Amino acid sequence: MIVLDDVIVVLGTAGNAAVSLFTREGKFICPLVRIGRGPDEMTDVVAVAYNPYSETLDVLGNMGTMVNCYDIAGRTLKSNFSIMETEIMSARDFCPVSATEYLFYKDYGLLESQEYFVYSYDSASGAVKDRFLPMDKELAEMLSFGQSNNLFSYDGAVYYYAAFGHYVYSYKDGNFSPFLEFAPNMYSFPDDLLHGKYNDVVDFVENTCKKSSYIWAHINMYRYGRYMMSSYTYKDDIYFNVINLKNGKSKSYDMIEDDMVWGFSTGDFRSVLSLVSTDERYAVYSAEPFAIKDIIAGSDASSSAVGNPEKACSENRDLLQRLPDDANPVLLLMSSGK
Amino acid sequence: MKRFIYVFPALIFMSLILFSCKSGSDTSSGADYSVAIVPEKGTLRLSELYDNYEMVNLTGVLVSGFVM
Repeated sequence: MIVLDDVIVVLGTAGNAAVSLFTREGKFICPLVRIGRGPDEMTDVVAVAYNPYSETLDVLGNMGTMVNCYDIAGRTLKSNFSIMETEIMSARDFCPVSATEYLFYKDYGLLESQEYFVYSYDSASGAVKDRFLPMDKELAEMLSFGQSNNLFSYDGAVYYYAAFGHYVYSYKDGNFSPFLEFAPNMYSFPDDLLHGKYNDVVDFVENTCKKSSYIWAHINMYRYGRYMMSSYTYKDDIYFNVINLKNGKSKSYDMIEDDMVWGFSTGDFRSVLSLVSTDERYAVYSAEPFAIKDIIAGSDASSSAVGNPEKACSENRDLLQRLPDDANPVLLLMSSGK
Repeated sequence: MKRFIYVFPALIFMSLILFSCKSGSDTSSGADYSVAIVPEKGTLRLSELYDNYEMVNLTGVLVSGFVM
C-alpha cells in the first residue's frame, strides 16, 4: 500500500492486475501492472516502492529478477532493469535510495559463492556496489518465513530487518550499520538452537519454535514517528510490539483495541486489523469488514461490549454494516501529531 | 587554587559529555537503541499511538490476495 498525494497504490490481485491505482477516496482508477509476459507486464509482483528521486513507482517482480519503473501520471512503463545476471539474481524486497541506486534483500542462496542478505546496486552501471550481512545459506532456507517490509525508507534513511535478526539496520550515505539492537534476554532465540539440524522448516517450527520458551517469527517491522512496530510469535500466540524510540522502551500486546473508528478489540494482528504500510504521514491499517462485523455483533450481544460507542463509532458501524460481505479491506490511514 | 578554579569546571563539563546519552544507546554494537522484548499480555489502544484517522473504502474492483 502506498499513499501518494492523489492516488493509492494497492498490491493485490484485481482481475488481471497485480498492482492497481485508486483515487485517494478509494475509487478504482485502473490497473498499473498487469500479469502476463507482454512488454509492460510482469509474471508476478514481489514488492512495490515509490521512488521519490525518479518520481516513479518501482515494481519488483518476475520472481524478484526484474524492476519495472512506472510513470504513475501517464500509467506507462518508463524504464526497467534486470538483476538476474548479477550476483543478486533474485530478491525478496527492495528499496530505492536514489534515482538509480537500490538496496535489495535476498532471502536465500542461489549460487555456490558467498552470498549476502543485503546488496546495494546501481541500475545505471548495472553493478553491485556493496554487500552486507554474509548469508548462512542452510540457515537462510530455514528462516524464509512469509514476511514483508524487510527494507523500507523513513525520514531520509533506509531500514532493514528480517526474522531472527539481532538488529534493525539503517543505511544512509553508503553506511550500513546497526540502528536498534534486540538485547538478549531469556526470550531471545539462541543462536545454537537456530543452527540446529532440522528436516525442514515445518520440523523447525512445529517441533522447536512452538515448543520453546523463545520468541520466534519476529517480522514485519515498520517505523512511524517515534515508534518501531512489529509482530512476533511466542509459543503459539501472536503479539504486537511497539518500541518507543523517545524513551527506549519496548512493550508487547496480545490484543489491539480500536477505540477510535468502530469500537472493537481483536488479537488477530495479521488479518482482522493489520499494519500494512507506513510513511512519514500515515500508518496504514488494513481492516477486514466481514470479520469486524462479526466481532461487533458478538460483543454487542454480551455484557463485555466495548463500552457505548461514541457517535462517530456509531456512524462508522452503520457504514460498515452496509458493506457487502465480500467487500475489500477498509484502509485506515492513522496519523498523529504527537 | 587558581588551577582548581580552572580545572574544576572543565572536569564537570567533561563528565557531562561522558555520561550524556540517548535512552537505550551506547551499545557495544554501536546501535542507537537497545531494547529487550518481553511477551506480555495487554491491550494496545489505537488512541495511544494516533489522534486522527481517515477511512478509505476501496471500490470498483475486488482485490484478492491483498498483500499491501
